[in-house]
Amino acid sequence: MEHRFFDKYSNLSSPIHKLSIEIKVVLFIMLSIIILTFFEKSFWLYVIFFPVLILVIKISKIPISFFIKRISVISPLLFLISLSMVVAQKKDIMLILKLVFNSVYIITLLILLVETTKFLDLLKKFNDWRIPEVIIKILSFIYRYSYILVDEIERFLRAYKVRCNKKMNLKIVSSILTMILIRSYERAEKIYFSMMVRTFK
Amino acid sequence: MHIPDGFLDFKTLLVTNVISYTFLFYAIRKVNKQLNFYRIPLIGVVSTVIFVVSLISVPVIGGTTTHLTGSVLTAVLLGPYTGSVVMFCVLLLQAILFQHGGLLSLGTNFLNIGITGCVLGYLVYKIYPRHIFVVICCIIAYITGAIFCVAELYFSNRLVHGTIFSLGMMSITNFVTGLIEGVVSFSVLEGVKKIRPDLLNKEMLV
Repeated sequence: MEHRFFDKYSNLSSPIHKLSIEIKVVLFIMLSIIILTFFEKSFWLYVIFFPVLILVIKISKIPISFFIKRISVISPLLFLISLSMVVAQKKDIMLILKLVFNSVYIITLLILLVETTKFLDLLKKFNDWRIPEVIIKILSFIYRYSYILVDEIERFLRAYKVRCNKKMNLKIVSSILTMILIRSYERAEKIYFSMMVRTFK
Repeated sequence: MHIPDGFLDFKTLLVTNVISYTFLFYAIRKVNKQLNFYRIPLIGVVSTVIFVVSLISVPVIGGTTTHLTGSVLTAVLLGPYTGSVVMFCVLLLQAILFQHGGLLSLGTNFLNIGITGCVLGYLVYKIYPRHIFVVICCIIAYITGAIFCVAELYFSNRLVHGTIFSLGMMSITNFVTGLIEGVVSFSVLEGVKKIRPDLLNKEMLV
């Protein structure tokens, strides 16, 4: 079983992959703030920035379809705002267009930042940037255990399908979740205590 | 509902981020001072379970989807401050891996989902600390999050028309999600109580 939800395209080789993380983070924050503050005032800036963004995506070698799939997360809020306008019988197409462009551009920049960087390198950098240790520890816990947990959930679901033909309901989902929580905890507890006896602090 | 980058204006982002990060640093100081070492495996497991559960999408109206956040469950299992730190990490990962919420709006989403769920949800739970009451805590936390979300959009001039309608619609959606999450959290807490009651030790909560 192979899952790849962390840094899927970080193993590619491109000039953007080779840029240092600090430069990428500073560029992301600066460009995002510029988009939020200046682009709304002049619509032409959106048009000018579009080919630049496409060029950067091409250089990064990440498929455009991946960006389109990820950008669809803005749909719930767009749906809500559009529906509120329909109800109020006032059309403000410019507002919707600005929101779409703002989000699409910033999400594209974020994808470029994250997918061209290895997650473990990012964690190491967090350490250098003096981000509190507890946050780095929790992030690395999630990184290490989530693959094991997804495997475990798949095993549970397969066993359920083989043994039972009933459709899933909330009760079954809750009991699967409880069992996963307890089993994973017992496994983690064993590892933790064995590390403690070996004087790990 | 996670607010992506680009939906809020700069001043709203600044205010919500300042509030959230101030609380986060206070919570981290509390956790560093008071955390019992025996809780470390539980923190690791709960944070991973919450992260993995949040990957499962539940369809709601209009072709949109939602997912469980597990914030109240985290607060009841780990305590409000540890729960908040865990929720921040989960939201950070969701933002950078799946673009569920943005990096600039991370503080805003932490306020709407993490702080309301872990702190407000836990405070309501403290009034009547029975597991069945978690259902109501989840609903209250979700609806408060929805109110915050609509208020932030309003102050960013994104909801100039039909604000009350948006508030009503978000509240209905969040009520349903909160109810589902409440039932799941209640069942999980009851299951943990039966199999490993030591995990629910209230003296170790931070």
